[in-house]
Amino acid sequence: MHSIQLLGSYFNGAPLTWQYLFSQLVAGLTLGSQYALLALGYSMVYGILKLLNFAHGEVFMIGSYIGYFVLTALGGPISSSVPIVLLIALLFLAGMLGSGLLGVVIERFAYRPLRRATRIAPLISALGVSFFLQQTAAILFGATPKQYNPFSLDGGRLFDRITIGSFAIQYVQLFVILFAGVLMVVLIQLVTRTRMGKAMRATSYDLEAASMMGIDIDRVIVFTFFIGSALAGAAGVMNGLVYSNVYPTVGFNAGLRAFTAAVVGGIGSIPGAMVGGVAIGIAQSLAIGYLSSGYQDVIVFGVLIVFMLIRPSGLFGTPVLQKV
Amino acid sequence: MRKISLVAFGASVIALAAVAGASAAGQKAAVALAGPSCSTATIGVTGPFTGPAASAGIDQRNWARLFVTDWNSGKPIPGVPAGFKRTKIKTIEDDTQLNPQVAATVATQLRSNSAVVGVVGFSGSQEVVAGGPILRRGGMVFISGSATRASLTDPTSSDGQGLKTGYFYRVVPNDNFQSVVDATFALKKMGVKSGDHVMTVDQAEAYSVPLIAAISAQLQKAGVVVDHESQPATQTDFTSLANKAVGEHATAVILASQVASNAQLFAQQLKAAGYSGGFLGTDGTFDATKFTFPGAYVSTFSLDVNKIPADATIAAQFTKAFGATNNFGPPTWVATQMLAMAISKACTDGKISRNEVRRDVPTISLKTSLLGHPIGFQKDGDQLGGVSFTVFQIQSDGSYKVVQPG
Repeated sequence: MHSIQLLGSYFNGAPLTWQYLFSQLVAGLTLGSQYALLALGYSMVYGILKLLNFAHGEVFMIGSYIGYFVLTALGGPISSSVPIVLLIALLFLAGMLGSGLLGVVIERFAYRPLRRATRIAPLISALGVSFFLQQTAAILFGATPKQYNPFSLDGGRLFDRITIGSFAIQYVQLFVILFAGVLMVVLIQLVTRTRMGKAMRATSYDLEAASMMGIDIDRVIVFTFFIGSALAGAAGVMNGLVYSNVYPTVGFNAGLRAFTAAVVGGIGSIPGAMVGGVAIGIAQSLAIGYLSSGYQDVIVFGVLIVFMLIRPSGLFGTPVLQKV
Repeated sequence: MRKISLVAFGASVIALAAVAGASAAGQKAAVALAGPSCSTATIGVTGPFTGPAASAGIDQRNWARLFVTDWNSGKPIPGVPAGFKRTKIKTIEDDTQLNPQVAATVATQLRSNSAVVGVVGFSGSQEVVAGGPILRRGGMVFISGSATRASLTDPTSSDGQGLKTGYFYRVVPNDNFQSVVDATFALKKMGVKSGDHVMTVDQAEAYSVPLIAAISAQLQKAGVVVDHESQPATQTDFTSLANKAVGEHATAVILASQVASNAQLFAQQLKAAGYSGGFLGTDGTFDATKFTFPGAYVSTFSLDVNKIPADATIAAQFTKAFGATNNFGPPTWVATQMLAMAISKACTDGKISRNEVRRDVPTISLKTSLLGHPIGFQKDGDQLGGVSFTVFQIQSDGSYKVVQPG
């Protein structure tokens, strides 16, 4: 394969070629797609309840574990008892359903009783749920990482590359990017074209007014938690399929970056969460690719600080006017 | 009804927490509260029994357990002279999770338990840095079977100043040996030449950062262009690094990590990105159950005990009791042995204290050991003599084959 020169030859050891840039963009998009799915949950819950659900990363973790246990129950990656397409479908179905239900349970027991409490109370409760889930996972599943071992799935074909000219992308990367895209499109359709979506938007706009207009607020909130958590579950299974390892604290790092993505995109905004997630993933990947892996967090959280300073409402957020 | 369900949920949470607490407490049921005793001396055995490095820590714990069983029952042990009077040993096992904060908590617990006269551990260098000074202030000696960071025994370094000479010992060679072995191996056996690119990767913690810095320096001295990367162990997306290794045409990638599954994943992601050069993992990646990428190399301070004829009986005994060893734990057997022999020596007058054990540890020397070579300590706590690192290559069936003996 011939290198297509971009600018010069090398920058900080990294080749300045179009295909190298493409490979890093694909890696960033793959990672960013997962951040985006996770960020959507943060944003949707914040949009409706004005609650920072810090337990959302742990919902991602549980989704990833559910996928792992389904994979194991179906014979494991090397000797799966079902065809690969069905296997992957089952992993996502179980991961999304399990995480969705977990989100509903968390809302019911940890947040709903505090809905009329001061803003700090549910925030503390969210942190408590986060640690509770982490430690429960450590007790139940052990702290040793469980491995999807996706390189053994279907003889490792998931990681074969499709080559178009000088550009290459792995099947698993293409799948993650496309599937995340499909989930986001479905979510947008759901929010903009269904009665429940309209109720969600109304509740997000003014919870009390929506309630007075006859909208079942509890039902809307439960539905929001279910959808947001199911998307986190999907991201958890994707994480296992691409990066293999799942362990009790896996949701912490991913959750922190996804939260950053939600803030950068404009917390409460669905398109903002999507764009923010992808942007953070790509920023992380390019930082590793062109600077050094040591700079990745500096870049990611530097972006957060810059946005906080120059545009606190994020890319798609609208500034809130406070009446005095 | 709502109140009842909330109460039920709350009760369930408390019950779950209570069960978890009881389970954790159960593991420490053997905690001794009386003072030190020569009838049965108490030692701490620490290691990452859970967490990402659990497979290494559990192997260490199992070798320590087997040693104590054999020691207490009077079975022959390599390096123990015939007629040596043994003081029986009882252990308190503490899980440090390869986490410095946990290691510091464990150190505080062991220090405050007056029955404990010495400790086997810590496993990770970052744990020694965090927990070691606490044990030192308690007057306790501690012997590691795996902490290799060179500065731990350098009295001029900040690590060495925190630990002070005479408290910390190790039965494994330090990273100064490993960095030379790994860099030389890359140059001589992995086809790395002057002017080539090599990617070296640490995991942003106390073990891997200085080790990779030392390996990088050795390679740079030989004219190699080194791309030194740093990625935390909790982040398992190596895709961008793999793309970079391919892009810069790296001849070799060297990873220092204490998480063997990360080495496996990185090697797999490198292959998926189209990388075709060599891959070398340092001693922390040595785990034949987790790192099984064919063709990759692993350097380690340990030897394959199954290949040492004199160890055949003990190796078979271990396999029967715990299953196959991943060979990370045998040095911990030797660390426990050094401590047990020092305790026995201190007990010759029928009395024992932490100070006496600490005084006697450097006087113990083994003419032979489970590791197949003599063991003794220098004044600074390092091992006597020039025992070096062994390099293994992973075979297509996942087994480890020695390609450069230590």
